[in-house]
Amino acid sequence: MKLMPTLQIKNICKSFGGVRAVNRCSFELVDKKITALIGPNGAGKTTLFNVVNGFIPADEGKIFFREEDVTDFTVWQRSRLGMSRTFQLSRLFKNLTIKENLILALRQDDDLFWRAFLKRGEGSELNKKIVEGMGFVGLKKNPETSVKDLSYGEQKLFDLTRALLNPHSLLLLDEPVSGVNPVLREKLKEIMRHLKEKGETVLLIEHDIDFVRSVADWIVVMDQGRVLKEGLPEKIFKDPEVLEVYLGPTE
Amino acid sequence: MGYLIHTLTLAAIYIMVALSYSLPVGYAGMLNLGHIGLLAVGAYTAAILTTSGISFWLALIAAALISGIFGFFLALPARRIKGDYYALMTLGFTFVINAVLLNWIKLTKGPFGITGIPRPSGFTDPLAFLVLTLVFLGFTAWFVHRVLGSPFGKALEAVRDDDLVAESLGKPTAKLRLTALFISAVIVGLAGALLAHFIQFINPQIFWLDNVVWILAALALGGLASFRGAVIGMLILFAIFELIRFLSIPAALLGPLRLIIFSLLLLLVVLYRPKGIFGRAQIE
Repeated sequence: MKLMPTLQIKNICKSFGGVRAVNRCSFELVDKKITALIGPNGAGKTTLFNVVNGFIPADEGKIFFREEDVTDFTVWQRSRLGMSRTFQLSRLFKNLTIKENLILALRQDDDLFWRAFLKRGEGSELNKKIVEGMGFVGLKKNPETSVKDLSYGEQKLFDLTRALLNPHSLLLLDEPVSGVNPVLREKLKEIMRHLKEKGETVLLIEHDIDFVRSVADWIVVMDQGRVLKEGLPEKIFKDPEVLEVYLGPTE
Repeated sequence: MGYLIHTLTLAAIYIMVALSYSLPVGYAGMLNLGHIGLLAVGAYTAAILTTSGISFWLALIAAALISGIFGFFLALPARRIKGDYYALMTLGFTFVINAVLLNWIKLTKGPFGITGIPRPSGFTDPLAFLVLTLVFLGFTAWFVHRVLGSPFGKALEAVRDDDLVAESLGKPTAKLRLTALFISAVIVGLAGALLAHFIQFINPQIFWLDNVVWILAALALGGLASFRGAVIGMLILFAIFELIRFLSIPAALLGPLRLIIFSLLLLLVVLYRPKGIFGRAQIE
């Protein structure tokens, strides 16, 4: 029997007013691979991303995650099942420290207030995971500092760390290299390669074609709310239709 | 001496109110202007029960529970209504409670209020009642301190700072807000019951909007999202409140002067120290 893939997107439709942002969109993620979702501005990538994560309800269609129909699940339920995401513009809990932010990602039982009255002894274990997580992405900061002290690039790395520490089986990365400098971009490429080695299943939105080419195992091209093409990177970037969408009609 | 005991008892009750208020406002970021309405629910529930012969302790439990239930329903719309709109909605709750207190005369005696609320037996002496109040305050402080310092408290702060991100990290934000407001309502219900049995006379005037302003002022001064801030802020306001008495000012001017001083303080805090004395967060 063939195993179901981690994530299946089936016939998703989403309109805003009269605009069809996503129109009968279907594809599957390949497990333990990095899939990049690309397409021109307004192609519906971010909308689809938010539908997968649950921020936006779909008008039609289904999302299957780990063999479960999660279409009607809330954002937090999907997260507890194992979806973890980053944000294009990093969104941090701005009044908290780096450590507090990361502990929030690690913990899954903090909605029960009475646990405040139980004995806890996992502090050192959480600390270890935080040090590991920050070490993995190469974020060199004192965990006790406020997240407000992070630069733009550090915020990007921090957002990624938080998503990685949040227990997950699927990583959703929303434009991880948008607006970062070339040095950090190379570093992020390196991190993506490490993620692949770790066997992470990743869905990525990215405009930076060079970045996509060097990290993605599979590419899904969206245009006007539809899936235009999908395939291996070397084929996709030679496809005349894809090139036309991206670069305009060829002569 | 009697004056000091009286003031300390009131201060202890209002510190309970401030501590319970810091949970939804400072931590969960819900600007609940219905808090004074919940205080009224607690006070009236207890007063109505004890004046009809039910024991103080049962009335106390009933006050906490009924206030808690009101708090629960007050938290339900927080899922959809946020920020200023939530503040407006909960302000409406205070208005509704006040209208009910004024007009359901059979139950509440309307504008005349409930008189002759008995002190609990064994605590009729003011000093004994102060000790009782301090025991409740101590328990409240321990409980709130423990909850706020726990992972649950941090999860509330996450909801306050960015509820969508909190959701995407697996935090059930609706449940977190609901729990915060429920706990807050239970504590303020207890405070209301203590207040009613301390001053032994309550009317709707006591639970009107100026009270919302000054509890909020105490929290803003001491600092939102801070345990110490809630306690110290309330103590400072209380000290000012009482010290003004000793100035030789006509009694008629005393009330307005207090409000003027509170407003000025609030203005200074907002201008020069928007997070208050100990605060970590700012309400936007």
